[in-house]
Amino acid sequence: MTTSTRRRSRTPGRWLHAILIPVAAVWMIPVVMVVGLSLMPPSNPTTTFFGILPAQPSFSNYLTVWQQNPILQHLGNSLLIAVPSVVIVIVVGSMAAFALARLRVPLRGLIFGALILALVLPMSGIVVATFKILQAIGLYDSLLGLVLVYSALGLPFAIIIIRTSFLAIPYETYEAAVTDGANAWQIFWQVYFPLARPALAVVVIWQVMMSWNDFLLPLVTLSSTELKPLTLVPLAYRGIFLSQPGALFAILVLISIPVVLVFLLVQRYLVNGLAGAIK
Amino acid sequence: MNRRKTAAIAGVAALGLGLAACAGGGSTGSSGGDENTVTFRSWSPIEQTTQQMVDAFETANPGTTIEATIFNYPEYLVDLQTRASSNTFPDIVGLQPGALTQQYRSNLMPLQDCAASVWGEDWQSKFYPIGIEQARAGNPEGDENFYSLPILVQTVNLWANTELFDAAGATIPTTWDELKATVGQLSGGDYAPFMLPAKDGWLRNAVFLQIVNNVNPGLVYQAESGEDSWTNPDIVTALEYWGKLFTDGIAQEGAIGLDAYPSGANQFEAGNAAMIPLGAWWIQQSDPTKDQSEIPPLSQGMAGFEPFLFPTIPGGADESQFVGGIDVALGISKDAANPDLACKVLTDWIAGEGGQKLVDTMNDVPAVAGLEPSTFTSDKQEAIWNTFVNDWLPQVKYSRYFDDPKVDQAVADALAAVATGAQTPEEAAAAIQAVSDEVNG
Amino acid sequence: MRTKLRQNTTGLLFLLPALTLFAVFVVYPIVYNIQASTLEWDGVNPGTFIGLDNYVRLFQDPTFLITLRNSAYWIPLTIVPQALIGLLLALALNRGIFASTFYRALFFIPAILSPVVVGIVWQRVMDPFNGVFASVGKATGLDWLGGSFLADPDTAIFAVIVVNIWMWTGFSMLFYLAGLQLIDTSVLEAARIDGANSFQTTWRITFPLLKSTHLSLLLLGIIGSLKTFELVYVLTQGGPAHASEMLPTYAFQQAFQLQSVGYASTISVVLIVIAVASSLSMVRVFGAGFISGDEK
Repeated sequence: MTTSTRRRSRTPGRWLHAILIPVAAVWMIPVVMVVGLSLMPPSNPTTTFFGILPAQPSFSNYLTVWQQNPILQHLGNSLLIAVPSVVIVIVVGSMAAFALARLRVPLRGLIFGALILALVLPMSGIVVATFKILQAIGLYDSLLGLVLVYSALGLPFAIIIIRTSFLAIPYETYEAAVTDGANAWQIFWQVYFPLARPALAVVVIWQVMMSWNDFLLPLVTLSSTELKPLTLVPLAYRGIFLSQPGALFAILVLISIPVVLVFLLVQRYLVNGLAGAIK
Repeated sequence: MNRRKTAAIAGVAALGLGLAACAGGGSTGSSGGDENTVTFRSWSPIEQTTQQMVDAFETANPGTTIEATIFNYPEYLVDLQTRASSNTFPDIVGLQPGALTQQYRSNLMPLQDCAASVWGEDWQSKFYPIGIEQARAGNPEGDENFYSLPILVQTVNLWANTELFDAAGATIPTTWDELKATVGQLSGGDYAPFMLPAKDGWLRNAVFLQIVNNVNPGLVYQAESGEDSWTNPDIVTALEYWGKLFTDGIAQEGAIGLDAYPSGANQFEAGNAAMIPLGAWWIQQSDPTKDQSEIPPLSQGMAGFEPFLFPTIPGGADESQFVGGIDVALGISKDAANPDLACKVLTDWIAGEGGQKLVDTMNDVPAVAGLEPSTFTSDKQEAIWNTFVNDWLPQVKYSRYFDDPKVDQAVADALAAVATGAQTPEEAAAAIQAVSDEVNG
Repeated sequence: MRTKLRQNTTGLLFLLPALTLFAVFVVYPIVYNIQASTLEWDGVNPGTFIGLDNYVRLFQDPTFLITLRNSAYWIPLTIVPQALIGLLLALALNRGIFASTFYRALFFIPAILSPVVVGIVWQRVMDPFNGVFASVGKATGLDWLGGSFLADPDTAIFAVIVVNIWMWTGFSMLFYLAGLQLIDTSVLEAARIDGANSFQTTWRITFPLLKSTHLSLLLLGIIGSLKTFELVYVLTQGGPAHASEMLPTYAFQQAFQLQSVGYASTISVVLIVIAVASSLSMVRVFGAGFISGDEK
């Protein structure tokens, strides 16, 4: 810690801020516009300040969206899809990553090739086939079906990222644990898994983003109204000949908030360096 | 190592093939389901309106349930294809006339018996002629069945912001030269004289069909069917005039990158444009069932807007032609669990209480004559409504669609190429002809 | 031999859950696409087997060539700037300066937003008639800002690329932040004691030590580029006149708008082949250890 304190005092922080503040300000313009448009009341669709802000901001869109939809029920469904799929991807993905990084596995190259295949599949090209699979295994119109699909699609990314991180942990750590008589599961769960926290944080964020934001699969595979996740709400404000961008943006801002919270929650694992922990 | 790899690949392949034999099959079997439940999937009417129609039917028919899902059009196409190929076809579906109806014809049941049983033998006379004609567009030779029935119809036309026109002392243009002069008169302000949101293929085609029918009424449909050629000088002329919208400073900068919804429509409603090509459906901005305080001043009772027809083209027809037709049609699955109930819902939504709910929102013009909104919020709104319903729609002769999606796409592509200068009108016409040759075999 | 077998079994047991999910949800869609690519088929009515005709047609299709050209632009022009800016941000924000959490969140937010929102907003930003760029251009005299970037076939693909960079740079930053945590700070400290300045330590020590992060980003970048769909779809729909078309947008158009599922599947299969081939050639260039895991 002393080193980092010393480094911080030497860091020309002021110069960094002088660069970062204007860059961040420009970078944020479209985000400010998203929020601005969500505050634009339908009765006055005019803008000000280079078209970035609404001329007469109001919360009416948020009120509309809240009153017209059972937001909490949709939120619950979204959580029931995202949370299990994150857990599955983290556990199953790091198990596979551990096998590929440290255990003896036949056909390692082929397995990796298969991973790449899964990473490549374009969503629109697999909807029909995925629907048929879910139908065949009796998981059509169920949240569990979506959980499994998102897990399968998220695994390759997780495996590649987590494995890179496992490989960076010195091999001596593995050997030392073996010498201590630990079995493979213990080494994985007690030594490697905790050490991969930065990579796990990245995977959590990625998986939350994918399973939380996708709307094509739930749209096609869910038919019961009470199962619909949050991402299907915006469709009510995006129909043909319909210009209600205020309400559309309001619901999309609401959808983004939980993901931002997840980011804030896990991002601290991205800065607590692990170099010290390994030693 | 290599042998093991080969073996593994073979294993994976065998596993895959075991699961295969699915792509390419036709659809069979029933969607099954509950006798008292009707499923409905479509991209239109919009969700809030659909919900009112569902409520109206369920209240009048206790014990029945309608499960409705409304999509955006592109996702709706994905859903419909998925369901058609997995025996989960909805009982009632939204359809466009022509290509879309034809693609799903084998999943749909003929509707004339349903129509006759509810409305009597002369049921066809309830509908606007263009709706009846388009509903069967693309049917195979000799097949006179109605696989879909129109629920909403429309004209495609231009809209003016009358406040901006009045402020500039301009009048509605009726000829191309007047259009150019009016644009000149209206420029220089902080609004676009003629806003053309030409990013969307459907809008490009709608505008072009107004132009080409004003040049030589009906010619383009003969070119489509192969009786005439797309390289006919009159079509090339129409493409030239389309190009002039961009090169003569009529359309705003970057027109080809602006989408109609939400961007173009919002700009127009915010008073940033004096003219825009849309259609009859724009009247829904003044929806009487909405909280009126949420409607922008220009749209309240259509206070600031007025529809007009695309100006005539020099050397073309003397009068502007009417282009339009079916906005949305409905079809019933041939495997519907309860076809009678589905028929009851469909006819209720087209001309019954559900239809009344739909018309009350002014979503678009109803496909049957005689259905009127319960309330108007202004005399101007009522006058515009009557213009559409009594004067314009009965006169619509020309379709805003092509029967084949490939031709539709080819025209949209050609129009984009002309607009950006990538192709001359002659080259664009030849490009459409090439696709047309392929389609007409 | 017995231990080897047991070791193999352990490894496979760890892989089993992942492989099961794969076998169910990945293998079948691929086979389905391959099979459909040999058909003339609208996705609904019975199809006709036409062998490899779709492939022959595809390689003569000018739009297909445009999608290849656009992918060739897209891959380097998104990966390099995203990685570069992302790395600089990560280096700056790894130092625990004031409000670094706040900055990290700010730069990451674009990646979280729905592409639909991003599309609508950037259209408003770049609209030459009334957009943000145009208004700023008018106010400052920088008229070029009001160009029709999305509407001009020569610039449309680059305009979409710029939006993609804006959207995904925060994600590269995240990767580098994670990568930086794996670097042993004592190495950097030793170099500093030896008199190296911070530019030298970054360039000579940190940068090479981030090799696996660079390569992961490169791999994901190539595959992500080939798969790009939503952003292009909402910003330009692949237009004007296919100028910004990518393989997935073209496949989508063919499958659902033009009722040519067979042809669309052909495009998807070719996409998969290109992606796998480029990933494998990456392995060749950067060493087998990275992908195949045949190291140590």
